[in-house]
Amino acid sequence: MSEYESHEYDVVVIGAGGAGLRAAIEAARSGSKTAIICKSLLGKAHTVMAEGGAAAALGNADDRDGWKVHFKDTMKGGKYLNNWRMAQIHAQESADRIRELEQWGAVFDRTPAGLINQRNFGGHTYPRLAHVADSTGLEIIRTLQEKGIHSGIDIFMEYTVSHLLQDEDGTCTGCVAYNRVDGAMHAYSAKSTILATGGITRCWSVCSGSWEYTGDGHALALNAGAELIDMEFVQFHPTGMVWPPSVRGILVTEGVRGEGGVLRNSEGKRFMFDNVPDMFKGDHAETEEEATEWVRQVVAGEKASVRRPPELLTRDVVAKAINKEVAEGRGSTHGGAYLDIANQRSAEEIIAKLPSMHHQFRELAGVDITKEPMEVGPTAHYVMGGVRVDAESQESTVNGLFAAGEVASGLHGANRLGGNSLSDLIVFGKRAGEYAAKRSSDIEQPALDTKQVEDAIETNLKPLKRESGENPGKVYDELRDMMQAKVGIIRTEADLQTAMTDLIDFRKRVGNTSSGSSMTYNSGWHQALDLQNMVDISTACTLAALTRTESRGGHTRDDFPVPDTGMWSHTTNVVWKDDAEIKIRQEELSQPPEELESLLDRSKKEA
Amino acid sequence: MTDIKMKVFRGEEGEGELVEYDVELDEGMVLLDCIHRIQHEKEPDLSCRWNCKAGKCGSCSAEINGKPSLMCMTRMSDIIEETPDNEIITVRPLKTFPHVKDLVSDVSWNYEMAKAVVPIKGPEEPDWEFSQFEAKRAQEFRMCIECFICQDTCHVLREYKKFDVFGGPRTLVRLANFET
Repeated sequence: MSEYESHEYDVVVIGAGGAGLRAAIEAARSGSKTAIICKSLLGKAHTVMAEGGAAAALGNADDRDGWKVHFKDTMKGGKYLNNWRMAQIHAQESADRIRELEQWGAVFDRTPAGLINQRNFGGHTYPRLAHVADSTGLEIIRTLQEKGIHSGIDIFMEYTVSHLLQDEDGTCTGCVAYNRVDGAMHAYSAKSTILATGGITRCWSVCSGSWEYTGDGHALALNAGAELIDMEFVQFHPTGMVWPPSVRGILVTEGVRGEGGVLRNSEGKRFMFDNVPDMFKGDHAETEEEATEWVRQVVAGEKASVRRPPELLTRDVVAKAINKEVAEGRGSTHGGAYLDIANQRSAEEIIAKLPSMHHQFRELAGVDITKEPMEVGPTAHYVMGGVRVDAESQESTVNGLFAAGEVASGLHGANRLGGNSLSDLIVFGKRAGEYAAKRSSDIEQPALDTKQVEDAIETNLKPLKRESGENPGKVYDELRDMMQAKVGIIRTEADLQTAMTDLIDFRKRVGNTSSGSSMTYNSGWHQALDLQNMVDISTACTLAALTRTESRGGHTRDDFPVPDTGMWSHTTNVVWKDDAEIKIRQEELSQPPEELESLLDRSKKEA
Repeated sequence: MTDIKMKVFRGEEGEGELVEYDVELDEGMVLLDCIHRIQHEKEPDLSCRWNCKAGKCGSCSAEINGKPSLMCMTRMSDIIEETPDNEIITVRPLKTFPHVKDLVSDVSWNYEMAKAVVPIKGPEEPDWEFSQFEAKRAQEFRMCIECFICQDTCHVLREYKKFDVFGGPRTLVRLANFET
């Protein structure tokens, strides 16, 4: 019999980034006995890396803004594949969630009038991102962390959840986790479980994600029989570092462009003027003079009366444009584009507004961004796809299992707007906590199913017992290289087909890794277990990408280069696991009611 | 650049030794890349804590040639230059805290200290007005990424182990944030 420690909670939250902390705070506030289980130390989750800001229509920097404009921008940026109700809730509630953070001690940058300042970002009609220079995520996670540790929540740091537990009806009844420090196994009985595990971008070799981003929550949900949607939509952020090789992929905030930064190719041309898709025609400046005037107005704190620079198109558009410049031989020295802020703003302003970018380029690339341009290129940054949830409650298709933040899906459609992630976390984290607590208030504590727990533990211990398997790190590196090459920013049927075949082979290799036998902080062991999730999620993403025969948002098919105006313009891919096999089907997308439809700008439809 | 030799502390609960590894170097590599290369090519069970690899999360603190640093922000070209010719680069865990394994220390005491500092409440009314100048004062102290290097180098903690009576520089910075 395996040894493990048992725990009982009303609500167990898996993950301690913005969504997990916000959910746990809400659950605890509702009177639930709440635990957070997180893979890393508290405050180190991926949210801490968020830079540019959190989108909320406070209207502080431009009073023409409001939730209706935010809703319209989110839907348009998502190429109308969003869950309209989530987009509505998000636009309506994000301002209150930001104000609440301030009441909990967050100190955002101020407008001249002393209110929370707001920054321009791609796809947002008005300056909308509440921010703290270029390290907004740090401020948000620290605020939530400080609130959380004084909310009576039990926190299990450096524990990884490996399995969800379910009763005979499939209802989620808790989870099994291992302590990364000493390898001890723990079983949790939970009336409600919330996934807040973040994303999957570690499946690509050029990515901006931390080590945690191995799709754990996505895979836990799949294995519990929950449905995932939109898994083909992966956001390649247009501006990651490209040089030197070891830092390739590290994020360069969109805030650089929001503060007036311009993109140029090797010929010195501002190529974004030539890359405006039909659906955004007329929305952006058409000359450098107009774009420069917009920056002048914004810097002066005036309400913009001219159109914004085309560098502030949505991320999918800018990433593909950079990719095209490089492919056609007009890339920067190391295969990217030049992002210049040095000639747009003073050195003093750059250091005040973008201090961590200044530091990052100086320390890691030997580049002074107040004097010279940065080299940037696309990096896997975010997955729009994830666990299918109810818009109001965030409950998944499995009873008792909730999801919030990046692991959940629906809000962003085919492409997420910058700044909508941090606001997503706090809006839907709160809702998940609230509804999970509500569900827990009138049900019995589930009994731990010993057999399920012991089976889970046995699976977890396998890599420690194999003596001659492969180094998990080697499989990990090769899987990421394969996904980068075959399921990257530009996809083809042929590449995706070979990726599916490769993934079958990777699954076998993952089942035969060996990490050494130590249970104490054994990084290889943890990686061997994470790899199982990475293969599942890579398969789900590839399968969905293969199915969608069009290009839209974060999914680009070289063999189907334009958006489909027919079936795919209103169809969602649904992925689930049936008897260890990942399956897919298509579903008609729900359309917004008339009062919301009238807010949209569908006349210039499609990307 | 060529291959390089480096010594990494291997062992548990303080018992162990520096083990020498050859690492192949690519341009621009940071020390954390070398540790990952050792893990992925030779020693999967080498313990090391890290998250963002971009200097934002403060997870990968270690003592490099005796100097507490973030491994992700330590460029190999710099560390090679500062290491004397007849010496080999060394990487050890933070010394002030109880050792767990290899490069990982138990920093949980810092989280106990965090719990001892009760946050002040912001304004009850939303849309509180204050200037950027005033904001800046508090923000400066809120930029701490909790790498715990300041705690590691504080002699009150490092040499005298006064964990029961002193919270260390990190806690003082946290308190300074509340002054207006």
